[in-house]
Amino acid sequence: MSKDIQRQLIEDLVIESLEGLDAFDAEMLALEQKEGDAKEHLHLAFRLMHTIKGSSGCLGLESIEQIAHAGENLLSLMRDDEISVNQRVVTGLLRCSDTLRDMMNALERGQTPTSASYGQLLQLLDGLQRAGKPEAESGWGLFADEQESQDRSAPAEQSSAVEIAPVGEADNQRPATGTSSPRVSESAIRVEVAQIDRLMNLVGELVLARNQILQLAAERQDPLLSAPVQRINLITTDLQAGVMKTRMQTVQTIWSKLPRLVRDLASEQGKKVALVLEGQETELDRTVIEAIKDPLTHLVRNAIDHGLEDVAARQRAGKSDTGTLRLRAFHEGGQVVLEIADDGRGIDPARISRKAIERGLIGAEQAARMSSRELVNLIFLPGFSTAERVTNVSGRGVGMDVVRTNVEKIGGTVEVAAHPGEGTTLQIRIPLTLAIVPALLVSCQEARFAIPQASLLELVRLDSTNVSRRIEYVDQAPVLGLRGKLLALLDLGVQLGLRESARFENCFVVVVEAAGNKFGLVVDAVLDTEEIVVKPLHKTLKSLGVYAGATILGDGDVALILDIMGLSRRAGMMSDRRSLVSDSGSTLAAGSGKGSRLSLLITRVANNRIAFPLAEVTRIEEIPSCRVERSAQGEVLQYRGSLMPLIRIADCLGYPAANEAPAFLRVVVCQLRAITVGLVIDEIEDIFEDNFTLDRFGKVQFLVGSLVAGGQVADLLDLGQIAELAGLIGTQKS
Amino acid sequence: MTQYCTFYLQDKHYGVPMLEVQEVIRGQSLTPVPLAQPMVEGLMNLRGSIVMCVDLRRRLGLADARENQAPLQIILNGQSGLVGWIVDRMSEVRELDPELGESPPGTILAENRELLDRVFALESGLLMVLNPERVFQGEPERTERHRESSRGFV
Repeated sequence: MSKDIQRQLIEDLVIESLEGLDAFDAEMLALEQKEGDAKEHLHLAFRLMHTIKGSSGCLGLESIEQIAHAGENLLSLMRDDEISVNQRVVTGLLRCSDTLRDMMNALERGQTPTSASYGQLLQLLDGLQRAGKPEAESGWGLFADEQESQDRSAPAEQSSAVEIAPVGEADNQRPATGTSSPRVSESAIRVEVAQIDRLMNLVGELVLARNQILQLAAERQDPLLSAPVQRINLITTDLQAGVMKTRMQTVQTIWSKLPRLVRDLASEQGKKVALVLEGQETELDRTVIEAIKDPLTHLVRNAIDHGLEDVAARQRAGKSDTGTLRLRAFHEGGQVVLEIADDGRGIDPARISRKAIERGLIGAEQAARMSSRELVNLIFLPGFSTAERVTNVSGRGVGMDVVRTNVEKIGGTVEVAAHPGEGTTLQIRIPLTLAIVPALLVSCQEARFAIPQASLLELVRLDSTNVSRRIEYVDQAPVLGLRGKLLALLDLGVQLGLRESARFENCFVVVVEAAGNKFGLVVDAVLDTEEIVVKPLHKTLKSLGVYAGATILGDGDVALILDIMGLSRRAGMMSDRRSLVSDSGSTLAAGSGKGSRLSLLITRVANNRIAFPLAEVTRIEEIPSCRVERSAQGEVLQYRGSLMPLIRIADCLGYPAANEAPAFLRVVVCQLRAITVGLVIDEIEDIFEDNFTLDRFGKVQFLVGSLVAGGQVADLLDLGQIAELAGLIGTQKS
Repeated sequence: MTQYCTFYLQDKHYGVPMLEVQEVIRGQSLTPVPLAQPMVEGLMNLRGSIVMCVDLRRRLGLADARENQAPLQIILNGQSGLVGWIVDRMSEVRELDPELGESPPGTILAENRELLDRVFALESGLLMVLNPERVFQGEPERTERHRESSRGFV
């Protein structure tokens, strides 16, 4: 397979070089004719020759490199005015170009050109260099070295009979081979990407016109008309497919860079890695290829850095010394799946959960309730990294969430499946093309918008009968109770400044998800689903961050495509991942007391059962009493680099303090209005999830009311009041 | 010599290098863009390309035009894509030597000065040549005071 890659690279080199040589000849001729600026011609010619030298050198084609090098040397002397431009020099350079062309042709036929037969040319170029320079005898030290090395590398060259052979001879040495197979340089042409994009535009336009004609023809019902219209229909579809196809590139364009990367990383870390690439002929739109390049590279780095063990560890685990990194690409259900699998240590859900708790990304209780699959997918949270140490490769905890963001930006998804001890498999699912995406058309205040279906989860209709029942407000922010969970709502009209306040009668809630953030977008109506052609926006509109592009609808009007991630960011959802969950707690505290499904953390304080809305709980800590310090505003704890005020629930509620101070304090850490507060309780009892019915107290300080959890009565803490108390402490602190 | 496509906004004569102009069209339905800068009138479908249309009067701080007829648009093909300028009426194409133009006088409002490349004193009056790229480099928040003072600008 690496042979295939080599072959591909050589074909690319041939195509590129033959084009370059044609341009080179043109420059030489212009130089000789003294057209335009001689320096400019020399400069361009030098660059062309240099490119050929460089690319052939990379592929280990020494003979080509040597000739190009000699040509380049001559050109550089000309550029520096050490050799004047004359016919002899130009002829020499043109011969050099001819020779290179012959060598490229030979290469294309699968022959390996050797420099032995090109000695004469080298001598000619060398001679030109010496002749052109007046101080040749003393002044060509640099070149003398090269001449020597050439002599050493091809000692037979000077004396052999090949010397007399015409330069083009190589071409005729094996004329029988290769002539039957098509030549790459003739069967492939390079087309500017912009040109293809223009074609794509025109095809999109043609599709629209075709749709209109189809509609007209259907109305007329004229058999004379309908036959050609049908043909136009078919041709347009084929044309669309054809143009789409020209935009496609194989996955190989990215994969060809991986073997080198893998090799370097593996040797850097003393690991043995075998890279297996499958399905490299899988085609993807070039924009998708472009977008997927960085995330894929990152995942490969990750797999080698975190996934695969070093030789010693593998031996201990009874595996072969060499780890396998397998990349697969295939089509599935209109999408392309890229799979990155290693047979390394796998991801240990327990370790992930420990790290996530340690970094405060989730609470301990929350972690306990998560399935191992959910836990493993925590690696996509921002700020997560399991690497014990940060290497220059990975471990800074910025990687995986960026990978996910990038993949989701192009309408894809990433998932990870881990088998501890056996390996990790990451799957990226991406759409075939970004140019045409399925989208849902919605309307809001008479304006139409497209929502890419990739971010769409479900649609909920709110009519006048069920609006009030299902929408509640948390601090003026509307939330929708949907199957026992609360969903934050964003009114599209309000977000886009189309109306002052949200309107919930007879509207639709489009439930969307972006970067793991789920919310409901309130729109006036859902119109249709349509395959839309995505067109870029002017940069001043792109910078607004809420539109992913624009499209032309079937009726010729323009509609904006919403950027769901941008919208949620604009609404401030991204910055505070927890806002959605904490809402649920406050709902119960602030709500009317009717049942909604919630999780409560039940604790014991002086033999009373005190309930916390679990969503408000960041962590649960056990702290040695000696670590509690006193400051002017009360008890504080040095917690993660800052001071956290401690509030003893027993004191707040007027319960008697324990007779003797315990050695350890159990602290429920909550984030209340941006202040981290430690609430001291005696014991953790349990977590209950239920539709709790709250009996409100009238005016009991710090308590909202009581409810039945786990068959026993518990009092629900009023975190609002606690927050005020904490706020007092907080302001004093500052 | 450079060719300038010239047009009028209110009674002021403006121009833009002909090479930037793709075409002049009249009347196309526009899709408004919520949250965009006030100068952005909307998006237009020009034979399959999306064109962002800009109300030049608003950009230059002139009084809004209240016209019933479909707006006249100059379509410019600039570096950052197709852009339509809504103008009042077209004038002729003038061939002028850029050397003869002067840089905009320092006394005019700074934000308007940035939009101008050159000012030509023609027999019929002043011709102000706009720089298409700068039109989009940050639209200033115009207050009434600005509006007042910009009326004094030629």
